[in-house]
Amino acid sequence: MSSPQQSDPVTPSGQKAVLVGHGLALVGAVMALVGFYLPWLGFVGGRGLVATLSGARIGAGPVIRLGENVVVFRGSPTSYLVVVAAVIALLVVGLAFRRRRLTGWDGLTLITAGLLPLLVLWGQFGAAQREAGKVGILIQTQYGLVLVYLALLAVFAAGILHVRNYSRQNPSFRNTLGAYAFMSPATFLVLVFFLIPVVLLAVLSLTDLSSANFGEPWNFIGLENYRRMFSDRFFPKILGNTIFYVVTTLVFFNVGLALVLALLTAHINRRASFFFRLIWLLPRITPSVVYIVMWKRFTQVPPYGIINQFAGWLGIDYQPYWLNEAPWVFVILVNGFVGASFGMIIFTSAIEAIPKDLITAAKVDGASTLQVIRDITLPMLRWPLLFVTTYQTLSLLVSFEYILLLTQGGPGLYTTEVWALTAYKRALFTYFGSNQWAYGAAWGFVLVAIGIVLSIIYLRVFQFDQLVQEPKIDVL
Amino acid sequence: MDTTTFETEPTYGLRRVLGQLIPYVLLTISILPIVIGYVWIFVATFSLRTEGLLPKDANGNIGGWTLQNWTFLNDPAVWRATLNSLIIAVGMVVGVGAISSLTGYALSRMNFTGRKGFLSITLILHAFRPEMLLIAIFQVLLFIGGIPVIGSLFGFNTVGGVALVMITLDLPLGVWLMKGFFDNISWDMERAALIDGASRFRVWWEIIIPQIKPGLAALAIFTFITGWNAYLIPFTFTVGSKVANLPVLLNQFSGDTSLVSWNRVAALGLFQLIPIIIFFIFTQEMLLNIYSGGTKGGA
Amino acid sequence: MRVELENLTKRWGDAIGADGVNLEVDHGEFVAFLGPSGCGKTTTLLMIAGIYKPTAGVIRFDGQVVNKLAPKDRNIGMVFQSYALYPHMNVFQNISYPLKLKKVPQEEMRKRVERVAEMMGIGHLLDRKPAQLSGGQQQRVALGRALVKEPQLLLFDEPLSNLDARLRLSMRSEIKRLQLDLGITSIYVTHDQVEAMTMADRIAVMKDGKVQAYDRPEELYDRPRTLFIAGFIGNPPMNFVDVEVVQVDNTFHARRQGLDLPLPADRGEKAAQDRPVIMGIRPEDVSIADEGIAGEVYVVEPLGRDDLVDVQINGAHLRVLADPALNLRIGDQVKLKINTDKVQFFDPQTELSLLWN
Repeated sequence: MSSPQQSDPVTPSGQKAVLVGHGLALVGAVMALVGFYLPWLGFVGGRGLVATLSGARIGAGPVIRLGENVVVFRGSPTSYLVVVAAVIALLVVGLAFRRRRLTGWDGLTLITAGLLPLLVLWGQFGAAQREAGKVGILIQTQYGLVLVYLALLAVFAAGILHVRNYSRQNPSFRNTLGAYAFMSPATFLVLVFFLIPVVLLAVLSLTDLSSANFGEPWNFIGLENYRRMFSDRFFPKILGNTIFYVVTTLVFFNVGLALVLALLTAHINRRASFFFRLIWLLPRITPSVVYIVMWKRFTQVPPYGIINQFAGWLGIDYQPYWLNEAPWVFVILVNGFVGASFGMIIFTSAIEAIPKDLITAAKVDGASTLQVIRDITLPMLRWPLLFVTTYQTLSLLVSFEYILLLTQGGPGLYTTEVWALTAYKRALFTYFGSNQWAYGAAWGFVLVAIGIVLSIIYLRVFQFDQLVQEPKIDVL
Repeated sequence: MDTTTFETEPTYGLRRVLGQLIPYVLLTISILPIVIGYVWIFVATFSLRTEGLLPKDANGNIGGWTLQNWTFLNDPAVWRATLNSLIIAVGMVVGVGAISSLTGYALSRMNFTGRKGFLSITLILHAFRPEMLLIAIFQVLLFIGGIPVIGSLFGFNTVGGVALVMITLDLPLGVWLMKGFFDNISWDMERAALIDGASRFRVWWEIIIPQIKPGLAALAIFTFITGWNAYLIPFTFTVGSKVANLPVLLNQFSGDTSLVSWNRVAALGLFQLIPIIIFFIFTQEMLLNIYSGGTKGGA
Repeated sequence: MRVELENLTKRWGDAIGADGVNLEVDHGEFVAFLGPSGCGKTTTLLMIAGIYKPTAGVIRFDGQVVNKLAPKDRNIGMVFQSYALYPHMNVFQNISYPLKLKKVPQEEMRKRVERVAEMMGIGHLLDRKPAQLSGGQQQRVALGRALVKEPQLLLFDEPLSNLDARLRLSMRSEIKRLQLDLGITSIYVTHDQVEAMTMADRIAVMKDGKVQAYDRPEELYDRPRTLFIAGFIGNPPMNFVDVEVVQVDNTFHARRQGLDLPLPADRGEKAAQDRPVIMGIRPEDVSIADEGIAGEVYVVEPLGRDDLVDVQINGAHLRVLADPALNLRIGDQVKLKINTDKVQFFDPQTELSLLWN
């Protein structure tokens, strides 16, 4: 991009800033390593009370061992981030010297390498202190930790220096920084609540973490959770349920009924069709809890149930509690009445996009309405159909809110329990006295993996990336 | 349909009328469950008890209209839950609106290194369903809960934490929608503003945002409804009634199977439905548009 | 302000916007970039404005390289084809926006906006929103907004092409007049050669990202250096006929079937080649006469003041401006007289002029 004559020679003051930055990064890296390994080297600071690095692992409270007058906060995998940061800082400085050139990207790397462990440590140490406070211990800050804090700050500062210096010389890097500033809130949130959880879920599924051993060291147990999952007595039942639920709801409602509704509303008066589509939208925007209350009311025993009231009027004597009588029917109805509107709206806009000439021409040629639908409308709906089918498959596969509210997977054992619900319940419901986070994570991660693969396939198939136009302004 | 009458001339007119009526009949049948459900909510809310759809008084006769189901309005827990619901919903409107219009603007109109990568991540997340991540997000929230100060605002079992998670999960849709709105703004206007001396941030705030107000309004309504209705995430990440929002509270009411006062539940349900119905009445067209344009992408 | 472009290039991947543009604009000069759409004229303008970053090359304002300068620091005003007014602001806010960004005090801002609005004749519209204005009024507001910050360089990107023909004519003279009065260096992008000819001190004719010629309008008109310029400039456009130029005794003749044109010695000498050449002659340099080259009227297009008559001469077509009083009809036999002092000759391979290179 930038030709040699365009990159200005570094000004003397800039040169100095680069050197200071390098110095900071180097000192930081060394300090971080020393600080991190200090406890292992035997230099335990403080009088009797020792906190080696930041005990709390992600989410869990810190591990507190009282023995021989010593409190040890066991290091967690996240505290190794400090070592990673130090290595990155060394690498950046080393490579920059070899290239004889320093870019703003090196600076950004240093900022991340310094800031991320700093934040993690801050959180962990805070948690450790609170836990210690509960047991009545005062943590005396340990020298190594202070060193690590300072070191990470130094790496961070070095990064800031480099970025500032480089962005002064390079306008296109300045543009990029500006754009990153616009995107930083979203990036931060997506990182914390999307990307980290994906990784965390994968890691979690390989451990034995549960609320039963919360606060104790947990262990990597390899694929044990997956083995346990596949050999679960109810695994075939749950798998069968999931397939049945997804296929049936998809075929009869989310695609089938949606298509029928779209075709029906396309052939009536515009205002009326608008009205019907709006009513069909209602389940989607009704609070799920209220919506489920309505459905539960439908299925009640006499004299409360609405279905049974109609049955009574029709002279039918068989009036059971329908939700227990036919749980699957209602699970599918409840989901289908929400799901159908999505396909309906997509299909409707696709039908409206079909050139009127085409239909007029067919009618002039003598085609009946049904023939027009068969020969013109349906073939034109091929892509929307594929889109709705794939999109809704994923939706149905991973969503479980309505089933959770309606049957909780019952009645009885696993009658209407689907995969996603199992994952959720194992991890976040108290089962046999504990939340089996790791085991639930194994169930969940299978679906997440499927979800990621499917999402990428959509992008390829539907070529969303072609919607992206190039910006027509270069400068910031 | 009777194919034999298809060819015969005299019945043709009748057949035609029937043929035109059939869609109406089918569609009316299809919406019956929805309509009946809503009718029950309205009837039950204002009656002592209901049998099927009929309001009954103490003696089992039709009647028994009452307002006593609305006594929950005296319950401070309900108002706290309402406040929590409002905080989540308004937080989402502001958060998703501000963050996705910033990000959508950068993705749509700025030239920077890594733009393609950010776009593909947005697209993948847009198609991705985050429900299964709740298990891991739970751990993240526990972790955040351990951080001093921030933890008590956005950690596990805080309204702020719930709002933050919900904002994030709605971001891919919001960013994609906003990017689409920005794509349609004239480049010349933005160039003119740059030449007039505005920074990119001022261009975004003073020139471009006013042009996409309708789009922002649509996104705001959409996210408000999502936030107001939210059940799963508040339920998963909160414990106890202090931080419960309306749906969670309502589910607690209807959860105890034996002693459910269904009419009270219905009243609370209607209470919760009020903002939704208001939005529904005043923004129908907009709603249909978001639900088609929003998730449709380019298909 | 003096503007210099040196080897200015803009590429997007394989697509070329501008390809090695070299030219300079003197202080107070009015220069037009003229060319068909996609020739790179707007790309070049946007690079001068600082909106596009050049892939290569240098832009200098008064000798200073401004490549890395942000648009707001270049002290320029720009007028767009779409006017690019801010729809949510009224006229006053639109015009005052650049001043607001410069943090000019309220009182002075009001004075300056009113002065500019008065000058543009839109003083009574200050409270209106752009949507309530006609196209011409909108363009005046856009011009006012560009002028209010007293720029040293004015850039116009096809400002008149969205206006109707009559308004275009009056705005044309107004802009020219304004530019002369204020003496601001101006660059004007257009695809309309009449606009370029009437307004510009110099015209840069562009094609495929390259500057084909950069000269005064009358030079381009009388001495076109390439076939493209000859065809692009002048309305109705120049006629082109394949001929052979031969020397007979001491005189030169342009010949083809049915045509034998004695040429002035200076032109004939340069045009004489051992292969066919392209002869160009403008319609106004051909007239219907009592005697001359015989041809047949093929089409007549009345233009009002003149008739544009397409005359067929053994397969070649010449368009001629003729007096409507002649009342020519399709199929009429006519005789043509060609003003041979104005004929042009081009090399069919290189498309360069044989006379002016």
